[in-house]
Amino acid sequence: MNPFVSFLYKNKVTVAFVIIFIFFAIFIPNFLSLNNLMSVGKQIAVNGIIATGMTFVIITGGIDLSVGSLLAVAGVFCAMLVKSGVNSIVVILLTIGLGILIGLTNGLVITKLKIAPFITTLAMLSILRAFALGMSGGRSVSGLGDTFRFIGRGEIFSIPFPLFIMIVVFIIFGFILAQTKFGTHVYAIGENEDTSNILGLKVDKNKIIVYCISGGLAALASIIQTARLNSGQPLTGEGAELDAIAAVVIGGTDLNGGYGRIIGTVFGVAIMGMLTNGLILLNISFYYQLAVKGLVILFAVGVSRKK
Amino acid sequence: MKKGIILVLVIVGLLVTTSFASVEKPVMGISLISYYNPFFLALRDGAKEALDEIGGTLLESDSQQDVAKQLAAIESFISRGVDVILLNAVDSEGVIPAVELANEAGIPVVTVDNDASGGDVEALVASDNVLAGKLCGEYLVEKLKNEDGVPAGNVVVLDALPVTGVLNRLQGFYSVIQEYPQIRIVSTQNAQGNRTDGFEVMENILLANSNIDAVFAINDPSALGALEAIDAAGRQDEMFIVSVDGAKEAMEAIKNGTSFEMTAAQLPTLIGKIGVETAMKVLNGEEVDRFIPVDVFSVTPENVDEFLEMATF
Repeated sequence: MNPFVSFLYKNKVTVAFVIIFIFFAIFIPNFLSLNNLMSVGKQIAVNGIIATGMTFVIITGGIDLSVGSLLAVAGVFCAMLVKSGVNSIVVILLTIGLGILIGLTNGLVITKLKIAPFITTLAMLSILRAFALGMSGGRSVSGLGDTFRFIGRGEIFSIPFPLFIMIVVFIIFGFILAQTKFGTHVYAIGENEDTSNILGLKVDKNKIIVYCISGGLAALASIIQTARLNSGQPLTGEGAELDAIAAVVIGGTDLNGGYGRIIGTVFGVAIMGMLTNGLILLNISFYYQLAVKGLVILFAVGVSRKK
Repeated sequence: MKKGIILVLVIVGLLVTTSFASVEKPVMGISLISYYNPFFLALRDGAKEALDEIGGTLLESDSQQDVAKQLAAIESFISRGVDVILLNAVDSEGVIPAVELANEAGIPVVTVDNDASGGDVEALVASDNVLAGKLCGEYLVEKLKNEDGVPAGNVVVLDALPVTGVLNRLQGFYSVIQEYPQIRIVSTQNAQGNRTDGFEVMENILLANSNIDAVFAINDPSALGALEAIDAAGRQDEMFIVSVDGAKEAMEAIKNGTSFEMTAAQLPTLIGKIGVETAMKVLNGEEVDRFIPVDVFSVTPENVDEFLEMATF
């Protein structure tokens, strides 16, 4: 194959990103403004952080459908704690703790009871939504005061704080996946679970950790969301799991496990976020906004099949 | 190739020139609660039509009942630099940060159908829910008059979660019927504003009460559920139903001579239209009222045909 073409294939996600970026930059006034790019950055933070955990789960050959509801239940939990006057640092730790606990439950059910991840986390999706509604009485938990403002609206080195947290998460977890022994095990489990077992990798333990990462990161995302909305929303996050999965898959991670990179997910998340923003600004009727998103997912995954 | 480049340049040029809109050709962003409910679609259509007439552009976004998605859409509107935002708040509290962002950017916000409870909102354009409740009360009082002309009877109230719209409808209803001591409320239950609960709750109320003359439901879906329960119990000749909304199905029930006799119809298309008109007034620096009530209309067997023609949801 022509070396240039093969270079494009290898970096197809980046190429897709660049094409969409240039297209929007030409056709949408203000798309390139710092203000717009930063607001896209803030908007993708929640999906980006969730998708990072999802990348780990999918590489092991699993799936985590519970993260959307987790976003709601952890958000309501977080908002209730803030309202009852608990110190912000403690609120953050407790909320992430709740996410890890939920991930731990997912992991234990999947590994010890041997129930498929799809079923386990689908059940958890339903259970967590019930808790979010029950805890809040179905209504938003609002009036959090200014304590949480910074997380949602503050800036660090003139980068919006949500975007900053997402970048830190990308770097830390990208490093863990690519450079640590644990990361190698994650790939090995996804490649072939039986062989990994025979080789003496602690498959169950590693899988449980992976679901804990997914749960903990979803809870971190919920803190950002709660701060941005200045309220806990029991109905939020419906379909957030699918957005995260779409971003991971667009980023080239194999749904069958064993292959994928965080950098791919970064571009996947950015593409999804740009589309949401750009399709509104292009003045495309909402009906067709959904269709365009679907086509981009199909295209991205379709191209990645041509290896 | 050259032709292609020229074509692209022309298209880009057109897009750029149309995007520098003046107040005469304003760009408005509208963020709606849900596109899966015909009521909101009708509202959107009303706004779009009004804006098309003056040559403006409407950017739209569905919040899918998620206030986080609504915030993202508002942020996109702001960075695009729209002239005004029409906001149909998913959650009155949760949407406040979005309104504040628009305030900071100096973009006026007009709420339609559902208000934000904080931030600076220029105006709320919504159905007059108090009037809707009153119309229901008046119809009910008229129908319950006995031989001596005194309204009397047993009434069931199907309410829902106490959001402002519901509370206003109840307030309007009670303000009328409290004048008549012989009208007794025999049961008040939460039917969640939906058909399934309307059916189940009414089933139980029917079992518990052997003598009911009228039912007031706070919206058409719960009224339609109650209608099914009443028909299933074979008690359709004993009582009649009044409700609020003006949904097509409710009007058909009224037309077909069921015990569903009256609905106070909201006109979402009109809400959208008046929303745009109000936004234009704000842009032109005119004073507007904080609350702009949109009329509701009593739909009865006598005038149902006329309203069915205009039914949008």
